[in-house]
Amino acid sequence: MTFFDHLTLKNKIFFTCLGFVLLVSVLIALFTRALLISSLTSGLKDRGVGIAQSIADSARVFILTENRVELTAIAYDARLGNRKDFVSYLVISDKDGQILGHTFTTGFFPGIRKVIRQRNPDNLSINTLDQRGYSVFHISVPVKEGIYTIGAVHVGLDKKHIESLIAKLRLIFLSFLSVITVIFFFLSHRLALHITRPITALIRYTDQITKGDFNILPDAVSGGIAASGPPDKTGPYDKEDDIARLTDSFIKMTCQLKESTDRLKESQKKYRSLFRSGPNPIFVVEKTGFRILDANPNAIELFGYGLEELIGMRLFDLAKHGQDHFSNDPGPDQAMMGSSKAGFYKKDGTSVFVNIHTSPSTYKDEDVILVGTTDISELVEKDSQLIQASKMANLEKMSAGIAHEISQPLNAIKMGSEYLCMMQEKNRPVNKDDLHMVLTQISTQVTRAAEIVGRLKTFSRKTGFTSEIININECVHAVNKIIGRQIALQNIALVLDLDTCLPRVLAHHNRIEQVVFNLVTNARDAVNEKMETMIHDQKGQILIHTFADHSNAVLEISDNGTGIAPGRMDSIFESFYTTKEMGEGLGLGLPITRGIVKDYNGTISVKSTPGKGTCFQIIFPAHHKGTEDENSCYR
Amino acid sequence: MNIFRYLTYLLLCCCISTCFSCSPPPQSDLGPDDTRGVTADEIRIGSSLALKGHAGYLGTQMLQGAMSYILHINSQGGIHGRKINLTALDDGYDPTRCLYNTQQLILEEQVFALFCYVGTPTTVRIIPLVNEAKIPLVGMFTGANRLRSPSNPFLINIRASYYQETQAAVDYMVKTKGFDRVAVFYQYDEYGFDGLRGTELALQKYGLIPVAKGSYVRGTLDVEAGLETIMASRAQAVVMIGTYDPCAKFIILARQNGFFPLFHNVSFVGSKELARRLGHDGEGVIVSQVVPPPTLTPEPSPLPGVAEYIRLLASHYPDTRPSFVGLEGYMNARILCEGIERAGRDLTREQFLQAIASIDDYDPGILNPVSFGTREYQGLNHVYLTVIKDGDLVLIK
Amino acid sequence: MKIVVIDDEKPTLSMFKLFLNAYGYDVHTAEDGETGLSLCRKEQPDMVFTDIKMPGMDGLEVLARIRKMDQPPEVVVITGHGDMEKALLALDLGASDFINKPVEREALNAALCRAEKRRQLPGQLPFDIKVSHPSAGNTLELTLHGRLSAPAASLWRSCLETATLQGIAKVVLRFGDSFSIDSSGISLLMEQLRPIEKSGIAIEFKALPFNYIKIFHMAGMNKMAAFVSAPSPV
Repeated sequence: MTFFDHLTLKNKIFFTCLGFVLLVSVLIALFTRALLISSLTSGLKDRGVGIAQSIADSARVFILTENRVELTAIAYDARLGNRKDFVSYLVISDKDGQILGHTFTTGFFPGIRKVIRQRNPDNLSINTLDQRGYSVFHISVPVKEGIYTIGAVHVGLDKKHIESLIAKLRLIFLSFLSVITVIFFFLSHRLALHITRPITALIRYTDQITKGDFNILPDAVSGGIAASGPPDKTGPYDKEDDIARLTDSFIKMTCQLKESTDRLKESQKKYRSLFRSGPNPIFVVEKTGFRILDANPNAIELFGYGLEELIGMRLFDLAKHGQDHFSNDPGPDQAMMGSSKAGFYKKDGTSVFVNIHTSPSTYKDEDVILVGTTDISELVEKDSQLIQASKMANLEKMSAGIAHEISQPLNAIKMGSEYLCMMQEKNRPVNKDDLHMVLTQISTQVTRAAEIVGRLKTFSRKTGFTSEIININECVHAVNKIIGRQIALQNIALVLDLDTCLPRVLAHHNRIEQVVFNLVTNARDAVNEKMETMIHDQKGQILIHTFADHSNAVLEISDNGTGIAPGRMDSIFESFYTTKEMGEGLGLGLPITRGIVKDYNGTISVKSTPGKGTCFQIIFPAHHKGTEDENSCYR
Repeated sequence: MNIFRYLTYLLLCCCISTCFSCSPPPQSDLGPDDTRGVTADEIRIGSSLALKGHAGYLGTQMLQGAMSYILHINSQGGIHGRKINLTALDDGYDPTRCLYNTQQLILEEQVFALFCYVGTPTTVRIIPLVNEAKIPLVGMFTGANRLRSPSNPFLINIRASYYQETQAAVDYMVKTKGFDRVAVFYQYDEYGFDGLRGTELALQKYGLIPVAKGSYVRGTLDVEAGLETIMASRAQAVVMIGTYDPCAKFIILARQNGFFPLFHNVSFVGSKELARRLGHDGEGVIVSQVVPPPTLTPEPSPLPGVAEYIRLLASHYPDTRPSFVGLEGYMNARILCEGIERAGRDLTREQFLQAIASIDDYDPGILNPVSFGTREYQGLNHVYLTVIKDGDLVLIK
Repeated sequence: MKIVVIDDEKPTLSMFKLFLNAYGYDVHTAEDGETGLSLCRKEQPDMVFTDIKMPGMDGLEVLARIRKMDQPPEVVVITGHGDMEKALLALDLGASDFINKPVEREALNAALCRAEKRRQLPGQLPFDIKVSHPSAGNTLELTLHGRLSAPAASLWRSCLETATLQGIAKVVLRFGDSFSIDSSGISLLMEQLRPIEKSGIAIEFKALPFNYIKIFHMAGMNKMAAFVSAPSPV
């Protein structure tokens, strides 16, 4: 059946249908013919017998009287009307087979006389006579008088009649079948087309799509498919039609596919362009081990290594600190992990500071981490400059206090030396004890002054970039030394409640001091404001409280000052936001404070009740890996 | 591509169909080359007619009339060297006998043509034979409509039809005589029905219907019942379609009962016999004829056909007096011979029929032209009304 | 003479004690305002040195309270660097003098001297101007005594009106021992001196108390006048 297999679907349908129809028709025809022939023949014979028998009844008398005239008349009468069509002849014979009456007007059929003579007149018999010139069923019916056979009636049934009937019928049938076949031919053709043309169109379109050509319009598709449908259906066709539904689904699928492919292409493009020309260096690293799998041109440029050199290196080989230095192990579900101000080394050894942003991804079927680095060296530089500037601003604040602080020892030194000068001038002897006291005092006061200067120097120093493991309490103490006395002079109690077992944090001493300083000065200002503007029932107080909370070190600075209005809470961290009058402050303190806190992965929060007080809370994550036991407490 | 395939399949289907329905064409032993009944020197003609019995006068007269002419032709050497051999069998106006006779004539005698049949039921009976044998039948002493319509090429009617006869009668009665009450008395058979129908059709034209209808059975003289019916209707005229015996009895009885309508008979009645039986009761009885009166007198100039008939009859059958029926027979023979003549030497039935068809406007000498051709196969159309006067049938002008 | 020194700085107190003892004063010290006040009430000193910047009660409050006492002692306020406003306030509140830290001998001596002089003087002297024409005719000398304050405005004006400035090339303001001034006085002085200066007449300040010089400098009077110092006391 290879021929069959090679046919197109359309032809398959057509051939199958046609073949089937033909087969069925032929079977029906044959069956009907057989049935017809047999029934017609038997019917004919029955009729013939019937005729013969009725004639036999009426001919009986005349056979006895050998009335040929009457018998002839009877014979002819039997062939009246449409009987003529199938009764070929009628013969009435006597018991010896002598013909008494017959209807052979134009001549006897050859051999018929012999047949009649030879026939046994006693029994009903039906024979088929197929002779040259005629073909009949010869029915002989005996005419009996009582039990004696007196003669016979012979009826010749023309087979041709049947045959012509059958032929006519056959012709009708066959023409009918032919018409059916032709109609069916067209129908199956149309049906096949209706099925196969849309399928062909769909195949064509699918191939097109496979090649990547999505430029098929929905109209074209449905039009193409619809056009191949029944031609008499123009315009919107029956929505119930399976072909129509197939078309609809196909169009939808194609559109979806197109959109998806377009989106994919676009995102691929985007990704590629981002990766290639993104302003930030991007690394693709293994999820475990952080081995570099790929780097974009910017990364290559920034770090100075070639791509081949980078691939295979571990990411943290480039870093200043080991991998453990980077905070926050990302959970398996966390999309992002960041690390700010991480220090890396370029190939030539120069250091560069980057912010790291990571996100998990898949790269060539592997689970990887995309590491984006932002070169923030400049930013870090600017940052420290800003901090420095703020420090300067702070210094300004401090200057009055410092001046005052220094003037005290200076005064003592001055008065002491003046005393000695005066005594010397007046030639008055100086008491030995007095002398001792003075000299000691001078020395002490010098030391004191130096210390103050030293503190100042420390405070103003630009911090290094390396974070250290520090103890926040020390910072608090340092600030207290700087500003404590001033605050006390303003009749504000500075209370320290420091947890001796406070966990260490990874930060800069200097910067934390800045933070504490900022908050304390703000608190002082708030308390002062309250003292000036409101009725106060308590002495002004600033409380610095440090304590451990799980694995965090918490620093709280609270005051009973004027508080912050709820509406202003969000704004306090804004740069240049200040409630102080012009010239009294730039409003950079809190933003910088927050920046510093964030740098060390800490959080800052504030609670305040207007008129009652404010509390700033800073939480720093504890640094676990340290040389000292993390539970060791210290003063 | 599709067209080709379509055509291929169509062709295939047609072939299959034809294969199945093919059958050899039916053989026919009859064809245009059938020369049955024709020999080198003889043409056999057959006739079955009433030569004896209550209609025997009709047959005898007709036969003698025809034979007169045929014998005359034969004596002159026949037609195209062939003599006409007429075989006449008596069927006594019995259709069954007529059927048998005709079968014998066709089968045994192998006649070329049938000729001069008498009577409606008889002739009608043998129509199947004529059709089956495809044998021409020339001249029938019957005006039955059945023989004329639907037209049968083998039945060559010469005389006018009963419809025409009754039409003429009714015209005379209604138009000329101004009667409106017309009754019909008819033989209860094919012949009678035909005449009745003709009368009814004729009366219908005047918006009339027969006021009474009476009938009798063929072969009997039981006319009383019919007479009673018609008398009761007080008809002014009676159209009678029957034979001379029953009709005569009807008229006599009518007159005896004081019923004096205008009686009319169709030609088939046998006017001469009717007149003879009626005697003086026959006075004023009208008989419609299809041929002119077979008398030479008192015409100023006798019709040549009539004259020839009388002459030939006298020479061959000197004992027979000329009659309407005989003249009809003579006419039949004239037409027969004309046809044979026109067919030519290569005489076949087909040729003969074609020859007959070619007869158009042929006057066999009675100022009544014969036309076959495209019209219904009937030659004479003229109807003559005659009235019995002094035992003779006189033409009504 | 009894002196009370109030200062929250211990070293300063000991130095003061040393110094003043060396001068022969009877020195009592207190480390805060409250203690100082009660000490003053108890000891009834002739002079009080008080620091301004102190925790608790600051120097100005001490000053105000001391001046409310019967027979208030002379109060000298000790100012830190850059507390000139506070110094003026102190003067308004009745401080007789002020000295800056670090304390110089000269300043201390000047303050002691003035305080003694004032003590000798009966109560608070009202303001008085003596107009004189010493030496050359083109110099006008105005000797000022007492506390120059806003109410003295009319006197001053009348003074200057009577003393014609015609043909005067120089105006010398001689400050007496009892001279004291407050902020309103300074404003007045400036107001009066401006037209004089504008008319091209030179102005000279003579014997301005040492400690007032700074204030006058701060007020901008150094632009208008020349400061000529008085011979310092031994």
